[in-house]
Amino acid sequence: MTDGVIKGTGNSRYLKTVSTAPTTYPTYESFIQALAAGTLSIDLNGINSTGWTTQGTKLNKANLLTDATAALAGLTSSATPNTMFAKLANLITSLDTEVNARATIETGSYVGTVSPSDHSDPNYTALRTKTLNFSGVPKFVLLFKNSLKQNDHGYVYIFTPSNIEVFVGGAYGSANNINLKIFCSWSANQKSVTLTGGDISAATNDSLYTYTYHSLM
Amino acid sequence: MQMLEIAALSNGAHDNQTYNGTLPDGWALVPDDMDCPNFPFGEVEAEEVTYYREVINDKGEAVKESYTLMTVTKWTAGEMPEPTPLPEPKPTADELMDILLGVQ
Repeated sequence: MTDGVIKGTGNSRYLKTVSTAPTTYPTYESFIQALAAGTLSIDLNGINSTGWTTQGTKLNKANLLTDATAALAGLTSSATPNTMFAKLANLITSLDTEVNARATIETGSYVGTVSPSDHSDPNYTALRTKTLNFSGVPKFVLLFKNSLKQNDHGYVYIFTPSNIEVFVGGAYGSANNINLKIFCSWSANQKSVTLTGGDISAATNDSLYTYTYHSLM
Repeated sequence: MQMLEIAALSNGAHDNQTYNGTLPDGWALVPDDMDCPNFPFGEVEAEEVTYYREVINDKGEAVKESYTLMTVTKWTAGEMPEPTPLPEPKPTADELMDILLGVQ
């Protein structure tokens, strides 16, 4: 929109009164009396462009709210801008509620950091743990240990913030093998989990593998 | 985009994970176009790098906003651990029977 700027030369607008003015208000006193009584008839008779530095945007239906725009929001031609704003506010609130209720999936990967020769490392216990950070609190996490070699096995772990230990699924089914178990230690805000392989394994942090995870939040 | 912990583990590897919008203290982004042989075993140099994103200001205008993130600027490959030899595949039931029966 554009603000109007008048020149201040006293000629920015026209006034018009009734054609019977000379007989209705024959004297200056009668004219002033009608003005003071609020009965003096006039029209605001338009803009005199020569009295303006910049003409402003007109405050009319075409610029404030057309029937076509009102119809886009399901409103009739009687809608006012205020009606339109109220309708938009309700739509935004509904949209927020809908989006907040939707689940999001965070996908990522990491390369393991424990090498086969690390079993003799005095820090092996700390080395074989893996902490995963999420942008929110997951409802559950799918963790894949990807295998690209023949006679090797890809593992799949599925766990939630209520799990403290889970067994592998996938290639080994639900084999009750301590090496295929992981322990899950969740942070207080449940946005990160530290994983430790069962027994002494580096099941979730083996440097020969890339792990991918998908967390549903 | 991946991120890694700048300090190496005792075996020379760097903890790592996909960047999810939050960069923990002591971690740095790994640019997608950076070649990182033998990852995650290597030496890292990182520094604050300025990035730009488009945001909408109070006037509803799209403007560029700058922010900095620790970013890996150099990666020197470390020594990759030797893979453990895979175990010999177990004989099938038919092969076991052939062995027991002395069939060549």
